[in-house]
Amino acid sequence: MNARLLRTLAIAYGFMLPMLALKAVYTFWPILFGTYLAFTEYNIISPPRWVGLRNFEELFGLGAFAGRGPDRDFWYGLTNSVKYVLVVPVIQILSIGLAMLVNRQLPAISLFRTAYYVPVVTSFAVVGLMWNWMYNQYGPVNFILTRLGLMNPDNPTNLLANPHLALYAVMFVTIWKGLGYYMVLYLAGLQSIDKSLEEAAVIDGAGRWQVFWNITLPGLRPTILVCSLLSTISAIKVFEEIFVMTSGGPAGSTYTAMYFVYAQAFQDFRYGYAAAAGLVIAAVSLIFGVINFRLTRGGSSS
Amino acid sequence: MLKRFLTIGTLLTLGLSSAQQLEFVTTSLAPTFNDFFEPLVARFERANAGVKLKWTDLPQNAIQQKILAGIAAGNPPDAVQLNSSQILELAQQGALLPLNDLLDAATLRNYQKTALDAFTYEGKVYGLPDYASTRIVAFNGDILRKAGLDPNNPPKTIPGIIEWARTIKDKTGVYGFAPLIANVDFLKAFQEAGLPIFDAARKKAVFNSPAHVALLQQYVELRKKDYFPEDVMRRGFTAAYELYTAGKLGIIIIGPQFMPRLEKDNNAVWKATVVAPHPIGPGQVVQASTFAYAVPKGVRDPKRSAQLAAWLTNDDNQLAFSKRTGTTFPTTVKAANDPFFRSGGSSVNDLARLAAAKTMRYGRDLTVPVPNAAALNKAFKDNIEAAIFGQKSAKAALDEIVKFWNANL
Repeated sequence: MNARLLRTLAIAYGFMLPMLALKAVYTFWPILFGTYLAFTEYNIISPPRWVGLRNFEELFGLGAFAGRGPDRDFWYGLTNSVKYVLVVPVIQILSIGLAMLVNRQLPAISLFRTAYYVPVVTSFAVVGLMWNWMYNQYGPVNFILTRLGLMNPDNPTNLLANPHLALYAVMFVTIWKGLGYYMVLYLAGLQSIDKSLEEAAVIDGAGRWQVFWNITLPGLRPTILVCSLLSTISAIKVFEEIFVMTSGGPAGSTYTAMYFVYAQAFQDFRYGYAAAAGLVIAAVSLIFGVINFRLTRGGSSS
Repeated sequence: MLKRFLTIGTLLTLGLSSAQQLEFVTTSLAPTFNDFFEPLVARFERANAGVKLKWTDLPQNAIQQKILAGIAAGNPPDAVQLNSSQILELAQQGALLPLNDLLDAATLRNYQKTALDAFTYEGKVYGLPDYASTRIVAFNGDILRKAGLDPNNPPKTIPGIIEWARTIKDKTGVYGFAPLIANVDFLKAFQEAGLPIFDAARKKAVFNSPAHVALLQQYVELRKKDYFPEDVMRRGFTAAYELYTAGKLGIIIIGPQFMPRLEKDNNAVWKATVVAPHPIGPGQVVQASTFAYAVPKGVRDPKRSAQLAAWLTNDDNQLAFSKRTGTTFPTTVKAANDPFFRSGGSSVNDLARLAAAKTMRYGRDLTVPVPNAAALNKAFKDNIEAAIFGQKSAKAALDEIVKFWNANL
C-alpha cells in the first residue's frame, strides 16, 4: 500500500469519524448488546444472567418448553407481520405511478410533490389520532363506504373494530403515510434515466406502454430494489401504527411480532426474551431481503 | 488560600446536600397541582431542617421505566406514586421494598384496610395508599326526557341502567350507555356482580361458571343489537366520554373528577347532567382507582424513604390533597371520615363528589394482579373481544381464558 492511498484513507475516515462514532454508540453497540441480551434473562434491575438458548427454546417450544409448544402469541404476531408484507407491492406500484405523475414539468408541480410528502414527516401519534377519527363509526371513511353501498347505512361499523378488516385498515394508513417517501425516491430514479433512450424508443415507433415497460421500468430497477427492501423491512417491523390505532386488537387481529417484543420488554420486563424474539424477526427480515434481491435480479438496471 | 477554603466549602456543602436530599415522584399531577405540591415541599423542609425535598412529576406511561432505570443506575427516587397494577408489577420484579419491615404496625393501621390490600402482594405491603377516586353515574337529562324517563328517579342497579339504556336507544336512536369492559375491565365487572375470579386459595381461575358466562352473554347480546357503541371495546372510557360530551350518549359511568372538565368541554351537556351514585351490585364493591407511594429497591436509606412515604400520605396531607382536587378521597381511616366529604354545594360538580362519597366505603381497587401479565391479559382481552364481536360463544371464550390462565398462573 503506498503512502498516498494511506493518506486518502486517513482523510476519508477522518471525515466519517463523527458519524461513525454516533453509529457506534447508537446503532452498532445496541445491536451487539441486544444480541447478547437474547441469551440472557434481564429485567434491568439485576444484571443479565446467561441462560444460553433457553429464550429461543421458549419461542420455538423446544427443550424445556416442548410440553407447552411454541409461544403462540409470538407466532401469531409474526404471521400478521408477514401478512403486512402485502403492503410492499401495493405501495411500490402506487408510488411509481405517483412519481411519474409528478415528474411532469407542469406549473406548481412542486406543490403536489410537497403535498404527497407531508404525511411522511407527520408523526405517527398525529397520524394515528387523525385516522382514528377518519375510521370513526360515523366518520368520513364510513360515510364514503355507506354511500358506495359497501356498508349498511343503518348500522355502520368501525373498520378498526372489525376483527376481519382491522389489519387491512391499518395497512391502508401505512400506505397513505409511506407513499410520499417512496415517491421521492422513484422521482430521483426517473430523473436519472437517460431521456435520449425514451426519445429513441419513441422514434422507433414504441407506444407509451412499451416505453414504460422496456425503458422506464428496467431503468428504475435499482430504485425498486432499494424501495421494496426498505418497505419489506418496515412491514415486518410494523409497530407504531398498531400501537397508536388498535393496540393489537380487536380480538388480537392486528397483533404483530414487534408488538409482542414491546409487550414482553415494556409490560412484562422480560428484556432477554424480547431480544430473542427481536433476533428471530431480524432473521425473517433478512430472508425477505434475499427474496427481494432475487426478484429484482440484484437491482442491475441493464 | 482563599481558593482552597472555597473549594473545601463547596465540597462540604455538596456532600451535605447530596446526603440530605430526598426525592419523590408523582404520576401526572403537574402542573395542575403545583399549588399543592410546592407548599407541601416547603412544609416538609421546614419540619426537617437541613433536608432538601425534590418533587418530580412523570407521565403515567413513562414512570415504570424511569424507576427501573433509576434502580439500575443506583439512584432511584425515595418514594414513587403509582397505581395499583404498576406497584404490583414492580413488586413482582423485586423492584420495590416491602414496607412492613420499615414501618411500625401503628403507622400501617392508619390506612383503611381495603386500600392497603390493593398494594399487598404475597402478604407484604408495597405501597402506602395516597388517594382514591371512584365512579358515579351521570345522565344526560335532555336525552332521558326525550326517551320518556324521569331524571330525578334514576335506576339503582346495573340491570336497571341497562334497561334504561335500551329504552333510550329504542326511543331516541342515541346510544344509552357505554359499558367499561375494554381490555381486562370485564374482570372488574365480574367482581362488581359478586362473581369470583379465583378459587379460595387464589391458585385457580374460576371465571367460566354459568353465572360468569351469563353476564358476558348479556353484553354480547347488547352489542349484537347495537345497544352500546363498539368503539368502547377499543378505546374504553375515552370513547364513552367523547360521545357523552358530544351529547350522543344517554348515560355514562364516570369519575367525578371529569365533571369540571365536562363543564368546559360542553357546557350545555354539563348543565343537563344529573348525577347518581354508582349502583352497588351483589359484589358489594365498586371500582376505586387508588394511587400509592412505593419505595424502590436501592434507595440510600430505606427507613428514611419509607418515613417520607408515610409523611406524604398522612392524615393531614391526604385530606389537604382531596380538598384541593375536590373529587378524590383520602385513604386513611381518619381523613376519610372528615365532614368535608359529606357536605357541599348544589352544583353538578359538588353533587358528583357527594354521589361518589356515598359509595366510597364500597370502593376497592379491583385490579387483578397476575404473573406473566402481558400474556394473561392479552388472552383475556382477545377472547372477550372475540365473544363481543360474535367470533366465538361467551362460554368458549371464558373457557379458553380460564384454561390459558390456569396453565400459566
